[in-house]
Formats: sequence, structure tokens, C-alpha cells
Amino acid sequence: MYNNKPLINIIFPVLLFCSTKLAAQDTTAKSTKDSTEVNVQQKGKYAFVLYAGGGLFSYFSSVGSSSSGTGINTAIVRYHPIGTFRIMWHPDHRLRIGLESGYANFYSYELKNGNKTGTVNLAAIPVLFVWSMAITKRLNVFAGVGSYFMTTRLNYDGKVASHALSLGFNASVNYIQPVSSRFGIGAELKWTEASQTRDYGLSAQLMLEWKFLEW
Amino acid sequence: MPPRYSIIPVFIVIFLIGCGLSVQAQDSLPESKHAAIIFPYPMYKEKWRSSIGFSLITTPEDITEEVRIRVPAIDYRVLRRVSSHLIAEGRINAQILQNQFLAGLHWVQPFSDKLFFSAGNDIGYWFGFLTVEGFNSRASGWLTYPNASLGYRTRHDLLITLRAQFSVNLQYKAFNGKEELSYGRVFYNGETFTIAIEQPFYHHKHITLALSAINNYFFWQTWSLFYRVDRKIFYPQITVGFIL
Amino acid sequence: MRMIFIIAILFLFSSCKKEYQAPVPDYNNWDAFTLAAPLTLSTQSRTTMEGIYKLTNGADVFGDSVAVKWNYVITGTDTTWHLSVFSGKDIAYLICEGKRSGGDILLNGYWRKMAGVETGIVRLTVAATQGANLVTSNGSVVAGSIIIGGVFGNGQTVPAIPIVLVYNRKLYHKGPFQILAHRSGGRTSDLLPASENSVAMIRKTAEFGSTGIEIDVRLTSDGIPILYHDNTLNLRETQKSGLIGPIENYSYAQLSTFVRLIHGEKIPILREALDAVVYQTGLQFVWMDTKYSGSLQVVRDLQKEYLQKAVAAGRTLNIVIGLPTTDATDHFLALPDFGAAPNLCELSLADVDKTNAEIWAPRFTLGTQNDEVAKVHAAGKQAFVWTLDVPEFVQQYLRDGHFDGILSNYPSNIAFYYYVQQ
Repeated sequence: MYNNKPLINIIFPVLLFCSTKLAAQDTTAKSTKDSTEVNVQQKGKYAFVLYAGGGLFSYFSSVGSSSSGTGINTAIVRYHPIGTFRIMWHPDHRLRIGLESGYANFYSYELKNGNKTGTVNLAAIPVLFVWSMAITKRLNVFAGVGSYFMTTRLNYDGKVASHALSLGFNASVNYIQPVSSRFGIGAELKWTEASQTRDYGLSAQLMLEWKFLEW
Repeated sequence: MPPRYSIIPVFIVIFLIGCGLSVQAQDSLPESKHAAIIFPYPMYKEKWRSSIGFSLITTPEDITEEVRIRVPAIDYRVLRRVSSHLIAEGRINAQILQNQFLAGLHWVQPFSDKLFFSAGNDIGYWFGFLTVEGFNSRASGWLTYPNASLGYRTRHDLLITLRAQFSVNLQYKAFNGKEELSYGRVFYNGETFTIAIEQPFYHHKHITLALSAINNYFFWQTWSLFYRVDRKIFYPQITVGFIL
Repeated sequence: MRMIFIIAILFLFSSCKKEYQAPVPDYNNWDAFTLAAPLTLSTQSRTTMEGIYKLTNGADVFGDSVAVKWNYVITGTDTTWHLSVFSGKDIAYLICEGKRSGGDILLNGYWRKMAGVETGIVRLTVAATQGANLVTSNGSVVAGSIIIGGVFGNGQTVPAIPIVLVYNRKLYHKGPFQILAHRSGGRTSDLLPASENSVAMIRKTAEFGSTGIEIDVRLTSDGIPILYHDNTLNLRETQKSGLIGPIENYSYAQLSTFVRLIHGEKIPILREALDAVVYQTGLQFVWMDTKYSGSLQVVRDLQKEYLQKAVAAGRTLNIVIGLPTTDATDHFLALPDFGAAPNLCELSLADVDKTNAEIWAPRFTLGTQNDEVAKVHAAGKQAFVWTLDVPEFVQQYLRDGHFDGILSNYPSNIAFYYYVQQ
């Protein structure tokens, strides 16, 4: 039920279709009037932009263990907070690059084995290289590849915190409403996938954008 | 039971396409110079085009098991105009311990001022050597890569290319110590589908970004693992290049 | 035009990555076999039936010649015999159980091509007048005196394609030679019906032609030796559980509660694995590849215990500690009785001398190294090679090399090329 990859394959084509229907606007400013937009780059200008946000993550992949005969899974929690931190370099053309990190708490569950109970929690810190492009003045798409630093916390017959690296990627789209020429606030929808460990899900986050350096 | 197909993540692909297809820009004449390496654009005025960059594959679990690493290779490409529609291409993929040289011809045909097509064939020679810790191995081989590309030029400096390439093994030779294994068996080796975008990046520099799905029985970069099964292995590959 | 591009891209990428499977077909639908009586054959009868057979039907699928051999597994007080047929074409094998129907021998089972994923059901008969009586009476066999005929099919379909095997000659046998199965039988990626490094695989491995196994030994956080190859818990070896990272971080209680191997088995402890080898199989060799860094005392203690148990059970069995690294060698040399501990060394000949190893085992990528192997033999030791999978190299190493054993992910392949020699 929670292996909702087919759902994702519907959501993103829909987003794609919508993006092709939007009246695209040139996101490079031709006059100082346009440079009041935080996401708008003046021709010949470069900038560093910071994104920071947080929201709710919904884990879509299978949690595991429930079908493996190890016990009875209960109290599976698939919704957890997520945070994103991203630094982007905006050169004088459409394509932008940057680095992204943050924190994603994937899921947790409780397992009963006779009269013993154990809990497992899986979380990750992504470190990804990100490309982005502005579709319109306020709508951006991002795609990142890199690694997730995964951490398992197990509490059963003792406590264990164990770490592993998982190759993965993410893809997101955000809409930023400018507050000033340097700041904006908006919302982001992001697909997060640690491919190697088959952990993935969708998050909705509130996003702040800050153009902190321009030259 | 037939093999199950899993939908591989298409989101990077969607990003590459979605943003590009929704861009509006001013018209530009098709004969004007476009910085393009993968895009099947005729070389109307130039004699040479080249790019330098790198490609990265993620080693497949079937072969390298727990050791899933992204293996970079230097990727250098050069195009030489033969006529306005016929282009000769040379390419070097270098990883030091294993390398591949390719050369081929492509015919480029515009269908309109937005849609372009090319078809051609490349011949590749690869070789590798490994003489450390438990290895006294070397190998080499020849492959041929018939290919076709469809390119869409947006009304701005963004070029989108879909490319289908097939791989046919011509010859393989390997040595472990003095033991030699070679065969000149010609067999179909698999296919590669690529989606690429090329556009200005900063100042006057243009960038190529490509995502490839390689499905091969044998892939030259993993020759040293001597993995021989009759099943295609999937290699996702990212290519980044700066057009010179 | 844009939509055509979008649809074309989604189609192309959605069809790219195949996930292969090779499930063993359900072959328990042969009524004649179900109603037949148990097959009781003496050891000599089984040996009579073993040999190299020529295929007069089915050669396009299984090649011109195959090697036929019996093997067994013990469950409680029951012994189940399997007849395995090893082919050199696409690393194929057939595995059948036998029963008696009147004077005929019925053989029912499945086939698999390891080079790909093809499988199918096979139903064979040795008619009373075409070898069954000869086999049961321990008569002498000549070429053509035993004919195994029947049908095979693809996948789950009812078999209907004819296959006929005609006895040609005895199996090749020259001195002790070990056909060793990697990770007790093969890797996860080989799509076998049991997980690598599991008791289930140990019980199956002789069907694939193995005379011995290599197993990977690690320690849990509470010092219990287990069988597990990789450094970390991952989805290559285990079902998803949420537990990740180095397996040494977890106690056995935690692993046995939360973790299952790919086919659902628990991660076995070394004691369980050796117990299965001694009391449930006829395997002759166990190579314990020590994958962890630490004291080897607990492994040595189990080695001693099970070597004694094997002797007490009348078994011909050698259990060696494998030394793949200098670190493992150093820990081995720290054992108080290392000089008496059977071991196999993968490093240099000097290290073989230092550890008093019985066996030197270099990687196949160094070549046949006949000069070095000759030195090893002159010192009264053996030489194995690992991990040899490419069929052409297998043939070369058997023909041109002088190894006493080959470790492979495809023991059936080694079995074929070894037994078919003349």
C-alpha cells in the first residue's frame, strides 16, 4: 500500500505538463525594475542564493520487517519533519548549480517479539550536488545527485546507532513569492530518494530564499 | 515468469525537459552558430567543435555488490565538419586504468528550424590493465555503436536531444597472467538511451548535461570483474561537458 | 511536439531497468511420480549410473554432453538423494529426485541456465530394459547401456520437449579435487533458490556439483561468529529492516530478531552452519573465510569441535581457516596452537610457510602460476584458485593448470568441465 511509486509517476508528469503550459517568462532582468524579484537575475550579474526551509516528509517506500517473520510491526510512523538547506550559484544564464543538505527523518517503527519490544528509527542527512532552472520568475525546478548519510537508531536488547552511506538523488519544484529584492518566501514540493537503501518519499516545505551576494 | 520491470526514477529527466520546454525566447536563425556537441546540429559555418568534461556511472550491485561507487571518466569530444550535413566525431573516455577511443560519422538532417535528426555509427576500441594486489590482468576489445539522435531547439539557447545508441561487440581479448581468452564473436551487446540538454552556463561558456540509461551485457568500464552472465546490466550515467 | 517528447522520454526510461528472477518451477505435478515408490539404490548402483552422457535429443539446449552425478542431503532421519546433470552450455544444470515405478526409475525435477534466467520442469525415465535393471543389479556399464529419456519444458509449462541422455563413459577422476562453491553455493545476483551464506544454501549446494564450500565469517558485537559476506547490512543480502551500517554494530539477538536474508532465512551462526555440513550433507571441505579483524579464537574453537565431530560421525571432512589478508594472518599467528590449525592462505608462498598452511589459494587473475603451484606441491601442500566463473578460463585452468581445487560461483560449471575430461 505504501509502495507509491506509481503515484509519483503520475504526480511528476502532471507537474511537467503544467510547466509546459505556463507562459514562460524570461527570468533575466532587462531593467532595474525587474531586479526587484529575488529569483530574477540581471543580465551579466552573478549571485549566491541561500534556500532554507522545513516541513513535513511522507515516507512512501516499504518499511520492511513486517513480512519477514521477525515479529509484529506496530506503530509505524511515516510522517516526520524535514529540513532543507541549499546554496546556489546563479550565473548570468538560466542554469544554476549548488549544494544541498538538510535532514530527513524517514520513518520509525516498533516491533514486538514475544514480551520484548524494540524500536527502529531511520534518518538521513543528504549531501547533494544540485542543478536548478527557473521556469518562470517565481517557479523553480531542482534536481540533485549525491549521497545520503543514513543513521539507524535501534533500541532492542541494548541501543545501537549505526551509520551508512546511500547514493541517491532528489527532485523538487518551488514557488517563491518575493518579499524584497533579496528575500522571498514560498513553498516547495520535493521527492527525496536514497536509492541504495530504497528509501524514498515526498515532502512539502515552507521555503525562504535569500540572495545574500550579488556582483 | 517474465522479468519484472521497475520504473527507474525519471525526475532528473523531467527536470531536464520540463524547464527547457517551457522557456520562451527570441527567434534565432537556424544557420547561426549554436554551441552543440550532442545536439544533432549541422555544422554550417564551423570546421571544428569540441568539449571536455566527465562522465559518471554508478557501479551496478550485480557486479560490484556492496561497493557502489560513482566512477568518473574524462570525456573529450571533437567534431569535424566533412560537409554541412556530414560530421566526423572523435571521442576519448579516459579512466587511466581503462580507456576507450571512439571514432565515427554522423549524418545530420534538419526537419524544420526546431527539429533536427542525425544517424551514424561509431567504432570504439577499449583497453585496460590491472597489475596490483592479486591481479595480473589486461584486456581489450572492439565495439561498434550505431546511433540516432532527435534534437529539439527551443526558442532560446536551449537544445534538447534524445539519443538512442546500440552496442555490438566485435572482438574481445583478455589475459590473466599467461592465460589468454579471446573471441571474435559478433553479438548484440545492448542499448543506451540518452537525454541531453545544452545551453549557456556562465559568460560565454556553454554546458552539456546528459543522463544516459545503459543496458549492456558487457560494459568496458567493468572489464576487470570478469562478470559473464547472459543478462543485461543497467548502468545509469551522468555526463557533464563544457563546450570549448 | 512537446508532448511527444515527454511521452517518448517517460516510455524510454520507464522500460530501462529490468529486474530478473529465476524462480524454481513447481515440478510436483507429475502424477506418475507422485504415485511411484521410493527409490532405494546402493552406493554402487548410484556410482554405476553416474557418468558422461551424450544427448541425442535436447543438445541444442543442453549441449552435446553432460555429466551425471548423485548427491544427498539429510533431514532428521531421512536422506534425500538428487541426481544432478551438469552441462557446459550456458552453465545449465538439471536437478531431479528419483522414484521407482515397476522396473523403471522415474526422475522428476527442474533445470536452470545460470548464464541467464531460464528454468523449466524436467521429467525423465530410465526404463527397466534401458538401464534401470542394470543399475539396480550393479551390472557393468558400457556406452549406450543406460538411456535416460524424457521431456523438459520452459517455465511452469507442462514439459513436452524431448530430451535423451545416452551413457558414454565414466566420470573423470584423478586424485582429490575440490569443487568449491562460493558463499556456500553462489551469490544473491545468481538468483539461486536460497540466500548466500545460509544453512538452506549449504543443504542445497551439493545439487549444484559442490564437494565443498567457502563461507564468510564475521563477528557480531557480542562476539558470536556468523555467516555474512558484506561489511554492512544492505539490501543485496537482506530484506529491508531499517537496520543499516556495519554488521559488527549489532548483537546476534538484534540480528536474529530484525534481520532476514533475501529468501527469508535468519543469518546463521557458524555453529549452525558447521552442524549442517557435518550432519546433513556429504560435503568434504569447508573454507571459513575470516572477513573480520579480531581474535580468531572463537573460530578456532569451533573448527576443533567440528573436526572432532566429523571424525566421530565417520565423515571425510576438512575445515580450514581462510586467511585473506595480512591482518587475518597476524591474528591467526596469535593463536596459541596455530601450528596445528588447518588453514588456507591466499597471500604469498612465504606466508603459506609462516602459517603452516595446508593450502595456498591465489586469485585466478594471476594466471595458472604453474611454477608456484609446483613449489607448493613439492612442499606437500595443495593449491586452490578463486573465483573462477568464466567458462573458457575454467577449461584453460583445468587443462593447463595444476590446481587441486577451484572456487566458483558456478560449481556446476566446474563440475561439468572437470568430469568431462578424459
